[in-house]
Amino acid sequence: MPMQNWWFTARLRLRSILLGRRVERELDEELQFHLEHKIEEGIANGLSPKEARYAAMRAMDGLEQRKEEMRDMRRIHWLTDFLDDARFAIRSLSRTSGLTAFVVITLALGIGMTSATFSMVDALIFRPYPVPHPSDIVTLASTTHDSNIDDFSYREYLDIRDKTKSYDGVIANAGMEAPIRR
Amino acid sequence: MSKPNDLVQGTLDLLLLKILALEPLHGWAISLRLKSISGDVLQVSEGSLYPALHKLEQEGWITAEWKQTENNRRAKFYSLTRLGRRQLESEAANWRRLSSAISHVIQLSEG
Repeated sequence: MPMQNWWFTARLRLRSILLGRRVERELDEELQFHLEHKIEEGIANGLSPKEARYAAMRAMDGLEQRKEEMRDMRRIHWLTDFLDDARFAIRSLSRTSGLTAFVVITLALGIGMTSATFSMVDALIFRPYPVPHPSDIVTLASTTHDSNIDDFSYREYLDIRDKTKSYDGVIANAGMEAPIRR
Repeated sequence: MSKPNDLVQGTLDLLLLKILALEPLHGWAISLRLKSISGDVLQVSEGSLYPALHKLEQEGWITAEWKQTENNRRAKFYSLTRLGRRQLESEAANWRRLSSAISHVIQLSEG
């Protein structure tokens, strides 16, 4: 299609999509207008109204088929067909509403759980801490004779916090099973 | 024997563009006009006229507008666009070239 007339075509096609029923009605009205004039012409030529009507209908025979051609010309069949398919799908699904509900809930739970897990992993592991210079943050751990990693006592924490020169600041967190004695 | 009102393939567009270049008309008036201008030689069936008009409209060569007729009926009037005028000129030039070539051929004297 030449570039020069894309605007006309796009406008007409958009109109066919948005005002589909109106475009159809206008097509009918246009052909009806023609039919009536053809009948009047027949009557003017001496036919009875009934004969004139038959003659006109015969002359316009196959117009339904032509209408289909004119619809094809608007080239929106892919869309109207898709909408028909969607409507059919919705009707079929609503007939088996129990199964539909089950499938929808299964999908919803599955998608929800997966996306919750992934957003947690994403926030905790894949993204840096939401602070300036996240690479400067270190974790301190203590070692003992028995274990490579051990917890600090609260007093140790206070000492590190107050005496340290290597860190800008120190914070501690405690596990639930290690109650702090004051 | 071929019917005299059979239109040469592809000439319907040219005829419609030319008729609409004279004045905006609705479908029925176009078919009357075509008959009267051509002295009843050219006739186009409804089955060809309307699809052709809609095709021309899709191409952007003519544009349609609903207006009142003289007897106060609503009808779809077609008129030529600027693109349509250009198309008419090129198709008319084409037709002249073709028809003069064909006349040349059939005027060749035999023997």
